[in-house]
Amino acid sequence: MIGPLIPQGTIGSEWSNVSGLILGMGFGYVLESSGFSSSRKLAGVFYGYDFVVLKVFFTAAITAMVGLLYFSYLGWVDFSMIYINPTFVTSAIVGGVIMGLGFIMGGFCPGTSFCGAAIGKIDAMIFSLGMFVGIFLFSEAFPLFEKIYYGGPMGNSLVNEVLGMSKGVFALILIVVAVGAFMVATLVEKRVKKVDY
Amino acid sequence: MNKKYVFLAGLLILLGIGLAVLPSREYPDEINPVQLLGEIKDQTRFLSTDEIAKRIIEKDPSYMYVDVRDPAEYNSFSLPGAVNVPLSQLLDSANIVLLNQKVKSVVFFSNGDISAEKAWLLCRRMGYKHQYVMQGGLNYWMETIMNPPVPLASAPGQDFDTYQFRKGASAYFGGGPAGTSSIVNAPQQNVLVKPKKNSSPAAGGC
Repeated sequence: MIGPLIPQGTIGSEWSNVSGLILGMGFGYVLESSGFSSSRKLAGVFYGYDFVVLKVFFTAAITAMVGLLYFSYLGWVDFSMIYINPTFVTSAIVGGVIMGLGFIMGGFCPGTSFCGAAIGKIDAMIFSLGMFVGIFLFSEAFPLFEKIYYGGPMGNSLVNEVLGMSKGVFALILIVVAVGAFMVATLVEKRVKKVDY
Repeated sequence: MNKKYVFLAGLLILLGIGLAVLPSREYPDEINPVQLLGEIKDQTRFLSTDEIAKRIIEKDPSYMYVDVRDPAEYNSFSLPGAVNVPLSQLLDSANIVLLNQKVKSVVFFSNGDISAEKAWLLCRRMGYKHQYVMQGGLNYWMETIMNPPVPLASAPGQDFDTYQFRKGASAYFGGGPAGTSSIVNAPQQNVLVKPKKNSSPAAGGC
């Protein structure tokens, strides 16, 4: 058996929503139980008193990366069949800025806002509502944004290919960057006044 | 700093070094077994001996005939213009260039079907496109093209047309006597090839 299981046809594609549901529930559970449903946790990254969000998501990313690359090396996963999101540079930058502003203003990311809403936090509910309003407005006004949305297309490219290095070397660099970021974050956390929440 | 975190960070970096050092693994474009089974059940890979005879006579350049028997057998008899790629050397890099190409369709043949089918299966598994098998192999070629059997008097007219074609083909390929073939060979025209003058004389200087 070799992954990815659904594109290979080992598991029927009708199961993709089921697996998505199960993984989503697991994700939500972990988010909630690590305290991410509090808006102060996310805002803490910007004010420097709590870097757990950075650490958790960066660790998750590099763990998944290392696992995937080793699986590929051992022949457990066919790397060529993994879906790669197409890159649009302009919309990635514009969207990133808007999302960052939204993070710091609202204190939630889409996932944590649903977590907060699920446990009855009113600010999270308002945030989710705002998200849907934003989606609606964006969809209605799409022709206005179309140029930005499809701006700077780079296809299904990978960072390591754009930089012209092998996957493994890039992985090592990313891990070193991550560990460095964790160390710096810990130092900053120690310097900044603790916030109780 | 927590010792646990130092250990975990060290472990990650170690794994990263491992990834940077390990050679990357290439996956050949092998096709899915389910798809391959579907193609095996499908009979469209077979080309009949009549079709092949017609294409050879017409000098159709889009087909390459690959003899997968031993060189000794190939040298004693083979289809005109056929290439010899013994089954045991099928996956040599020189032969792969020949088999995995976009210009010509590849038609495998051997004495029977079996060796040609093996070659076809391997090549299809590697994902090479436009691969065919001559149905019945050279044995059937001998039976149908080189020594075509006379159809029964009660046979449908189509059979007689086929027979006429086969007799002509037999003569073309140097088989049994053509007898009173109704196919008249067109007189061969000699095409004069004029050597083209080299328009650009050797340029000297810098």
